[in-house]
Amino acid sequence: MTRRTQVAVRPRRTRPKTSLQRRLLPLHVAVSLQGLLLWAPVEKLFMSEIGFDPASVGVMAAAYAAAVPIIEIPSGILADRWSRRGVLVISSVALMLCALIGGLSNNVATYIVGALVLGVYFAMYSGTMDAVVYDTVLEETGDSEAFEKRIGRVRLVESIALVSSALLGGWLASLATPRLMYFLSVPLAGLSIVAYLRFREPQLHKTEEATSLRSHLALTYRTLTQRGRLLPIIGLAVLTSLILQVIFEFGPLWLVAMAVPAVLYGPYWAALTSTLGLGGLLAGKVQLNRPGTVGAVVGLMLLASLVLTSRTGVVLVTIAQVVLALLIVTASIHVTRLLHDAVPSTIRSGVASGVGAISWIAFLPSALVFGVVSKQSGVHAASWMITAVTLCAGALLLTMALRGRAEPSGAHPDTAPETRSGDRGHVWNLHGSGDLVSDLTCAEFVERVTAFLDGVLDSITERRVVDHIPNCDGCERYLDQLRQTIRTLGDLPAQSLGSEDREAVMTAFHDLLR
Amino acid sequence: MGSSVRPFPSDEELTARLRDRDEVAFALLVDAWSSGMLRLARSFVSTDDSAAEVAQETWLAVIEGIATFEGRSSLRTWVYRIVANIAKRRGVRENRSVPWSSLLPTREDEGPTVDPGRFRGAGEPYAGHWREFPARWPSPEQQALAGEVRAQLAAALAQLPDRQRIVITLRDVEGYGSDEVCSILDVSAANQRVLLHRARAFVRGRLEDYFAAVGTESGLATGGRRRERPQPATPCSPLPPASS
Repeated sequence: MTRRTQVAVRPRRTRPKTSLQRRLLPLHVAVSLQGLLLWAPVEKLFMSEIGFDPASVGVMAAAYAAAVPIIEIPSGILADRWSRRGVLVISSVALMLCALIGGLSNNVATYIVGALVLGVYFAMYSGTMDAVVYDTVLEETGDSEAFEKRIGRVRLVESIALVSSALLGGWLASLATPRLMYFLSVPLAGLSIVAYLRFREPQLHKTEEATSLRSHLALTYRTLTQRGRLLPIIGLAVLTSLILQVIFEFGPLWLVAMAVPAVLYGPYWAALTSTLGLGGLLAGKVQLNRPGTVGAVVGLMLLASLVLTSRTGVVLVTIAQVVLALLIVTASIHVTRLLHDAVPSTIRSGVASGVGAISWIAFLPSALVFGVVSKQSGVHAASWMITAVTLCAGALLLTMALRGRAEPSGAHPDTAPETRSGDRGHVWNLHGSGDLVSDLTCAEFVERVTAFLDGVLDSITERRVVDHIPNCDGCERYLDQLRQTIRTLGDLPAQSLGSEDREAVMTAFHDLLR
Repeated sequence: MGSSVRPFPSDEELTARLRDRDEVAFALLVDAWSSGMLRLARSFVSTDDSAAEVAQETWLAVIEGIATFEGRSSLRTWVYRIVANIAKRRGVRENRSVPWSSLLPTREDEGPTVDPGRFRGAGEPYAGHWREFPARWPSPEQQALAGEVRAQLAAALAQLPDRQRIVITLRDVEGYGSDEVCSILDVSAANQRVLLHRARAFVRGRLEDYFAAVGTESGLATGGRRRERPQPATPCSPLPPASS
């Protein structure tokens, strides 16, 4: 017995972080396998081989940008209602198909079909990955604190895969053919399915009562359109992704304008894609809820965008693009957290995908205008568009940081239920201005009370709960009764160790003295 | 007991005294913590006797192991972890294994905790809001029924699924914080909260049933005042129109 108890008494410490990391590992593996797009660096080369000209490339981009938002919303709803992991598996299947179709293409039409399938991949993947990471963090740690860091890690893994496949694909293609790169990518995407299947999916979005598809759609739509507080967040999300898409789509045009030798494109592209990961790392470190920090970040973004409007050297242009992309990625991850904090888990993917769809829709005309302007007046002139959008995004970011400071959220206080109830009126005074619509139903309220009493709700949900109480006698009573139940449980009479047992224990202790 | 007058010694003091084989300190702990240990143990094993054996075995393990206690958790958490480990093992032997190894919420941990029929349906106005407010309970000052209420609580606890009972016992009966419970049981904070949430809602529901039954029988529960009629739940004004 002594041996056994020695084992038993070894103190075990729970390390939520470690178990979170362990749980996210299959996702990291899957993301890196999906990111190994060996064909990406030689795509333009291959496309010209099979008969693409700049005009048909434009058609392809348009078809692609139009397809993604159409699939985005259903993919998000599917992820919320069915399975996030399942949707990610579909994204892998789409990736396999796209590489296969691309590799088999001998003409423009077939290749565009392949590009549309790639659109399916993007639509299925984007939004869903964010939601799954957010829910996993929430399920493992009880709050969303670690989300930025965790999604940042996923972006890092993604970008390492992209950068290495850019270098590897370019090199391999020079040894073999670009077409082979497509076929080599197929099994890699297939392996990512295996990795996804090894991931244990969080169940948060399933814990709430199943609703009809119609009311689910209605709630998702209402959330996207009606919530006053959500609008600036959605606006910022759209603006940041717009800037990113423009940089990634048109960034190389600066190099074209400067007639830079082809050999520089590789390192340039690697630097740009690395911002996806570095921005992720930065997001866990930079506190974009502090006005001072935000001011510095916005200033730097504007400076970088101004550099792009002037005629300078290739090094400065690359640095400016990388800095701008880096900061925008950082800001977009921060915004993603704000967005997810503000919506319930049951519609999280749907809302995220909705925002993605709006971004694509905004990108379509922007891309056309940017293309036309840069063709007629040069890319530097078109770049003023980037400056303008950056200015808007910066202003929004700054407004939100200032507003966040004016209303200390009081989230995550590690206080006992009793203290919290005493604080309640105080919290109302801070937040009772009515700017946040208390749209919580009573059915939702009763499922949030435990997290509320533990003080672990995210700040926005906490306010929704707090705002509900003065408006609803039923829920106030429910909460009081729950508190009374907890109090009475604490008063249950003690059950004492029988005198014989106590004697035995004391004797054992006594025996040790001899 | 004299111990309630004097402040309870600090962990450092207790640890030092136990290592010095101070019998008074040991007796102090046995008397102060045994009841909570029994309650926790009882959640894992099938009989009171078995729980008492777990408590005994735990104290022996504490005597043996106090030298290895590193003070990384509180002394009480450390002792309770031993209870949980021993009780878990014994529970397995008694074929009452509690599946802590699986962190996935099981079927019994899913679904709404309050009967969805008590809220207005999707097609109705104020969808998702109370159809009728929960009935008022007698105030805690009206203590005539206190003993009976405790009996109801004990019965409700006994009806809970094992994992839920263990968590609510630690959190609400023993008064542990969330971190300590996670540490004692080695579960994630979120899963601990899911279990606690379901358990609390269930126990509240049982009390609600009880008060309702008493109220209709005699009206005694409310000090002679009859249980009020359920109010239609209109004053719950859920949606001030969005400003946008």
